Amino acid sequence: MYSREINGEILTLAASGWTYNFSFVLYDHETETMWLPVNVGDGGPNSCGCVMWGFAGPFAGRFLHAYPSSNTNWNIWWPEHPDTKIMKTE
Amino acid sequence: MSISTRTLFLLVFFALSNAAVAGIDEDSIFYKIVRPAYPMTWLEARDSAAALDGYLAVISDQAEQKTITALLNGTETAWIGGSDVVVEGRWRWSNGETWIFDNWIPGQPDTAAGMDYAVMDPGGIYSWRAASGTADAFVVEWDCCRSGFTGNVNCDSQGAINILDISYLINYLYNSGPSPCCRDLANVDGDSDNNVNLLDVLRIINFLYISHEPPSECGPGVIEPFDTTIIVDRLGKEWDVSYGVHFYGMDPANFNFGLGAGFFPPFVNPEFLSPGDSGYPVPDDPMGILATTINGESRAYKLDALIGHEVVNDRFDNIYVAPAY
Repeated sequence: MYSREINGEILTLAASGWTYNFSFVLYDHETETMWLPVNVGDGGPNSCGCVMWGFAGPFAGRFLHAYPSSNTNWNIWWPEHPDTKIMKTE
Repeated sequence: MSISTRTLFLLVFFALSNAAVAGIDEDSIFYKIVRPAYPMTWLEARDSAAALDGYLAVISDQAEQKTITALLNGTETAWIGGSDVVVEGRWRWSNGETWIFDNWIPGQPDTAAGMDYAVMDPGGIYSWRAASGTADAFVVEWDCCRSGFTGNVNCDSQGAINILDISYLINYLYNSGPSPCCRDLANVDGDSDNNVNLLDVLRIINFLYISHEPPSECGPGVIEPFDTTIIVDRLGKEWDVSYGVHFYGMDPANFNFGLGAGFFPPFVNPEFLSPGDSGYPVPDDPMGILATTINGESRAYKLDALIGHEVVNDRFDNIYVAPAY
């Protein structure tokens, strides 16, 4: 779960169609900066230092920070968050 | 706190001690001077500090006094956490810590009625006096090692990039044998030497806590010309990855697939089902989800639905986020 705001600009992120070392490379429609998720943690229990790193394009060298999120299952998540919404998909 | 992390805080402290933008001492205490839009009373300042997940500063030795003094601008008055409002003459710290040190201006604290709050006074070279009314600023303190701490200057290394994230980053960079790519990640490289140094760390902290804008002098600096590296995807679109190749040592051969932008169309302006809506999943549905809670609102994204799209462009009020699979 990444921020998509930088310098007050809102980005629309999308898959670029590329992978780099088997990670999806994203880009944004507005600036075509290329973004790669990287983990900069120290490997310890609190090591999630994931950010989206701009490596080419106008925002190269900048990064988009992460918000806490979890990969889980509905039957685990829902009892703890009974008011949760879920994205509508067809 | 591990030894390596302690080292990091010290490292950051040294970076800060030159610039007086914020301070960290060796016990992982972090200070910031908050300058509100209008002069606040001590009670307002105390509540504002709490709203920042901190508390008004507790000064327990001369070193802390010195650290905070260095952050103040020399003319402003600033509240700290001391008060004798409960029992006149019995000074206490608002966070409950034991009062083991004081640094009153000679003749202070004033025992007159209402003079119940400790302020750092520029007239006394930031020694303290008892005051009422308002002060220009207040000193917030955070303790990253305090159990249950949930603030932005936190220990959980999640959420917004914060001081602990920086310490992890530096730990990784200095102690874990980083690749050049990772080393450069942290490099706000005002001096363009492509190495993390204390100046760079200072710039990051200044950006995060003070200006929220990249320092004007920050940037790639003078960039020597370098080779252009273009990769071409299956739709014929050219992607210029020169910067990553040159500055981060990326290998163009490690870019794969090149299926083309649009092959995985992102979700934009997603809609959500609330409890009770038709189609809302039953409680025991075991489906895999990506889930988050931001601003008190919980949302789930079905992993199966993300496949083939990879990214959702979503927002929580004014917070713009991209869940990505």
